[in-house]
Amino acid sequence: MFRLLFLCLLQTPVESDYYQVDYLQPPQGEVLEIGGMDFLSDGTLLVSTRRGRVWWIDHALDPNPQAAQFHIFAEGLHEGLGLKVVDDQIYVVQRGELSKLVDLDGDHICDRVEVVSQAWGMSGNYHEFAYGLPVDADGNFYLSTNVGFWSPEWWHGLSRAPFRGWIWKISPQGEAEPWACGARSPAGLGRDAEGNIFYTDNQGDWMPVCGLFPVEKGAFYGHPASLRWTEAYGNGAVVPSSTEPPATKRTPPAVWIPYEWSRSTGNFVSDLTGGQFGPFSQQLFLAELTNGLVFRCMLEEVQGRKQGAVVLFRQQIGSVFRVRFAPDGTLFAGMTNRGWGGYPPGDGIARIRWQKNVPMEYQSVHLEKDGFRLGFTKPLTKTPQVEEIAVRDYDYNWWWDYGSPEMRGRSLQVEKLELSADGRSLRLWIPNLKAGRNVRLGITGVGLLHEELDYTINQMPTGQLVQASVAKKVQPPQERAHDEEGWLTLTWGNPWDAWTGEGWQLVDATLDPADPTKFLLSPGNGALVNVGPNCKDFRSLAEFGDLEFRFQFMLPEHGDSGLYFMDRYELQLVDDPSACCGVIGAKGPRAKGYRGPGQWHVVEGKFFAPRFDKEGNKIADARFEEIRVDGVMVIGATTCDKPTGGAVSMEEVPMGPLRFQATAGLAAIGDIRVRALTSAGQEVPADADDLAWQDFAFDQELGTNFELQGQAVLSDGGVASLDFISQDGAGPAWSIALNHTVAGKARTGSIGTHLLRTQFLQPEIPFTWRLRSRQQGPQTHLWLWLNQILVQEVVLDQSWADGHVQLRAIAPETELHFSKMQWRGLPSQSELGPVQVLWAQGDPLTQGWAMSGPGAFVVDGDVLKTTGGMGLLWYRQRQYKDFQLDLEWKVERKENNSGVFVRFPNPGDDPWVAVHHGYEIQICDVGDATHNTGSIYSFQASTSVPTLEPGQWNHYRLRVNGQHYQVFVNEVLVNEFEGKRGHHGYIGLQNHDDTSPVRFRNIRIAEILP
Amino acid sequence: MPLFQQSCAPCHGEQGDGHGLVALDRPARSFQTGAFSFGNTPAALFRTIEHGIGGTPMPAFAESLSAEQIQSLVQVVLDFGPEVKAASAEDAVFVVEDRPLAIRGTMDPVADGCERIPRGLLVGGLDGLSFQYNTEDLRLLAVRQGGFALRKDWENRGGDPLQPLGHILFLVDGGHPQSMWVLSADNQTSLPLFAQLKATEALAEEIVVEYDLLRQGRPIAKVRERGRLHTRGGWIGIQRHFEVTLLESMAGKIQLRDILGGGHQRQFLAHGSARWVDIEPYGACLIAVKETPSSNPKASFDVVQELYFGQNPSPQNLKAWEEAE
Repeated sequence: MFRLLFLCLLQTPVESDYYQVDYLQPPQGEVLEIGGMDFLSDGTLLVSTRRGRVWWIDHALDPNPQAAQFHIFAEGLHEGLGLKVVDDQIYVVQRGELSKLVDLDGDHICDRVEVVSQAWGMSGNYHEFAYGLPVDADGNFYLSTNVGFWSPEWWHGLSRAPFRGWIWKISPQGEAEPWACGARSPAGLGRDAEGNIFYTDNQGDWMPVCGLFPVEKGAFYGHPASLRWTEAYGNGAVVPSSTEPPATKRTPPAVWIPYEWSRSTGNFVSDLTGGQFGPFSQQLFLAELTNGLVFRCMLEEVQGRKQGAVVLFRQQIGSVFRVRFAPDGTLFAGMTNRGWGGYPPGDGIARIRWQKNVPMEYQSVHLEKDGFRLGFTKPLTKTPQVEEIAVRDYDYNWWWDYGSPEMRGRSLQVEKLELSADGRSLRLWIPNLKAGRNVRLGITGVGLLHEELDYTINQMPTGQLVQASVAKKVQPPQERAHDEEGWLTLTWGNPWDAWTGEGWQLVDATLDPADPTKFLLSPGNGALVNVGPNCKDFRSLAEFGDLEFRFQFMLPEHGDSGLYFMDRYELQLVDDPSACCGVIGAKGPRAKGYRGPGQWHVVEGKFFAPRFDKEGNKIADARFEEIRVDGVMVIGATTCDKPTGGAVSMEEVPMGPLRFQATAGLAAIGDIRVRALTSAGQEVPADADDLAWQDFAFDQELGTNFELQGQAVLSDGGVASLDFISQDGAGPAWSIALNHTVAGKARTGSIGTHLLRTQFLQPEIPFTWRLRSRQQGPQTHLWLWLNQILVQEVVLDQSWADGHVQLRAIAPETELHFSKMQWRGLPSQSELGPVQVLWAQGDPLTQGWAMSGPGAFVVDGDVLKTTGGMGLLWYRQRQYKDFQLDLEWKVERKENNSGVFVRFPNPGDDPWVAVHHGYEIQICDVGDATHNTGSIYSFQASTSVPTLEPGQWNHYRLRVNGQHYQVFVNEVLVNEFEGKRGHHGYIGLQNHDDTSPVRFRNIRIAEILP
Repeated sequence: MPLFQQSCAPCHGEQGDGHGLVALDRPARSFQTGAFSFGNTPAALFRTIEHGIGGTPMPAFAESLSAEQIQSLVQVVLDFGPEVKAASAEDAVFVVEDRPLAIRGTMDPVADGCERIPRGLLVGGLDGLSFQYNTEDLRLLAVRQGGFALRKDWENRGGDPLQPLGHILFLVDGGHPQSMWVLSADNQTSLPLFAQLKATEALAEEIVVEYDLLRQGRPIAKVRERGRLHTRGGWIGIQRHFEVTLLESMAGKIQLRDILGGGHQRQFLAHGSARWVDIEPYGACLIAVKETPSSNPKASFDVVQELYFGQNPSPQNLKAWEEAE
């Protein structure tokens, strides 16, 4: 009974049971951003910092961490990312100098900084750090130099000064040799137990993850920039490509470190404490800055080279950058994360001490030709079952993009295992292990403190040496395409994390030839298919409002599914071309997009969520726009006035998940991507930059389309508001709160119930502000900027014809100063009337058009083609005043000539009337300035001619409003012109001559409402 | 902020804790730890949101968000994280108090049209003067008074230039100084000597800058140089003191180059090597150079250079100056 009770009280062991952490207390107010640490023979600790100081710390080993005494030994150094004591002489690696710090008069203050070497190049780039500082058996120092990063392509590391991205070997006399290259951000160096020098590199371009690399003369570690200084590249003459992998042979790391364990590896030390730090003698301990931990590395020699395993050791320390063993076996951890962030604390010195008890951990890992032999610190509590051992392998891409995910993963099986009699050695037989892979192995159920290890197989222990690296050369990634920007790929990697969906399987699917109502499935990751029994709908965990979407689907015969937007509005997926990709209850597809069972289709479109007012009443329906299947538009636009059948609820909401239906029939879906549309589908109107600001006075009548800006200062404890008072209102129509410091009241920038969460303004310090108000129908749209940051975007469900603003102090003794106030009125946004199709197909002369002059326009389906000329096809039904005209045109050769005429009077038989009295927007890609495409012919040149190759359709948009003409070619604004001719007139197209066949289609116009 | 909910929260989580709902091959950054691949400065975050991180699921938002929207997201992202401990203005300003200071750092060009100085040195003595050097071929760039230095590289990721404070008393050669020392074979040829920094050392009141003079890559002499404020006969100027030790015997003479370089109007006076020079913008300037042989005339000697600005070069004044210590 007694013993049972005792067992129940035992808790799962944790790291701090075995390794305790405490922190030294630097002097009040001092921030020690540690770059290097070492001990004098008397136990004095010396640390160098990123602020160029070296601190002398007495009693750093005292059990009481507060007993340590700090004073500044040296300052004025240029950083100091490595410190080494050799025979009680102090060496520091500064950004530009390896220095020896000498105390001439014994007062423990450095009097003299001697230059050992300044051999490496520096361009002055901010990222050109230098790190160090191990010493080899002959007393040579090793340090490393970071590459630099510049705008605009700041993700490419470059070596713009000699031997940056190199490891240097420097003798105590200062003879410096560039030793090895290919480094990117070589943040840490150290020695293993045998005295071999290694360095750590950090994930980024050409570095898939962090790694521990052996420093060998002439090695190349993978980042091409530093190759510049090798003979093969003309000793500096030739700059290596930032995007093409070089042919130079690479030296692999001894270990690649899993990204989730280490994102910014610092330095490492080997345990030569003779057992004072626990059962890991001679193993390596590495610093990890971002995750704030120390992890452990067990190396072995395989085919003459070191490789091995990493495993977690002690977490939740702080942003550890440097580790160093003290004479008493304590592991000191120096911290800093300024500029990158990381697990706090981000500065200072931690001490990690072994509690003299033995944790249950991996103690050794040996690769066999057919598996592993694992050693443990203590006997395993039981023999593990094969099912309790998870093994997989994977590799990485070696490319210029930032890091690499784990690639080409395989699940591996433990065929059999054997535990030694003493329970401390486990032999695993795992077939299909191979070189050029990382193996992740985890054993549960045997009481391991850290269950997983990761082993880097550069070579198998027997057999031929293999050329393949773990980091595989792959096709360089595409240039980042514009249309990829902002898209979230919901099925990247493991889809299950983003969706719930019992019964769906990730497979490769094709139509079963024996039964076309079914799929033939094979292992793969091309499709999600609802094949399992009791399949539930596939629902995203995230919720969305307005979005653009893109996904793929394939159906078998009689296949049936649907994509519910916001869990409510169904886009149908069904094996029926007349219904597939229609919106249920709203509109069917107007064109045949669905091509039949067994074929993959790409569906794209836009969805807009319903809109609600402050009280929650719906003020706009959900709608779809521009739904296309494989590029074919099947629905131009449609609204859903209520959720469709099968919706999760008939109640409508502003955001909701996506859901693929599982229960109607079989379907395969894949590659689901969405892009949220900003500002609830509306964009912030561009600044009307040509509108001047005027000085503002508080009695100014403002209307509701205006902007105000100025400067302000608010006192500590001040509470006030800027109120908009409408002409017929008693109190404020709306108010902007001004309150930097008083809790419990709405803070600066809050508008009504729209409270501002982000607070960054300080009392007594001036700030700038800008307010824009726009009336949009019955609503008022407000934007507020503070210090040029947009902090509020609010839609009020009322609008006011006119009003003014005033300031109101709320708390007594509020001091509020507004200065430099300016305002300007904004033009009300031009609204377009309904779109009129001027011509889509058929004979234009029977649809309101007339021909003036020679030649003709020939109809070919939905295309009009010019012949002969010079003539004019004009729309005689009516004249237009202010409008937006859209059409498409296509030429056969760049020289082809045509044009669009606007605002001309009735030309009768004479096309020259249009030339003399209207304006022509030219079509001819090879004209001179005022005579090429987009120009107002003879009056004003277009700023560019962004037309596509002849044979491709281009798009013209002309906006004519008052005397302001805007010309857009393929959505690029190429001309803005102030006209002087008529205010209204007819629209026409030119046929120029027989050698200029130009085709038109899709001619539409919408009037601009006053 | 709705913008964060729509654009960021699906991957980074509504609380910015990295636990968004979207599947990713690598965990999304947790903003709460405050750590970022490309740095946690506002400029670095802006760029990351603008351009994305290629090869990772972090997309670019340059096309879908305006600069103002991205700027507002930067603030939201930073707000999730721990307070960034920045060096305060007081921390980063260096003042010479009871010990002379030597500071190394990258420095901005000393004048328009000059180059950035990746390896710079600023030394300050108790008399309030500071001497700024480029140490890649050791040359004096400028002498200042009235403030010492601001360590701007204590912000962000480091790497910003050190900023000398105070006003420039004297800018050598308009910011493009020649080599400080030459080897003269005869009175015609003078071979500029490369100066390699070897050490900086604190004396009681000023810093000594120690360097080797190289000829064809080989050190031929060692120099210990220091500078201070100096008064003589009521004039206040700068005195630079050089101890030169020859490392080998040689034909030719090592000489301190005329600090003003060539091309200036000068008048030689009948007072040893003192001379008046009219130079912009200092006006009249007296330079005196005196070589004092040390106890071992073959192996070492001292040079003292004095610079006085804007003095009245009348014969009486000059006499007073000469007669003073």
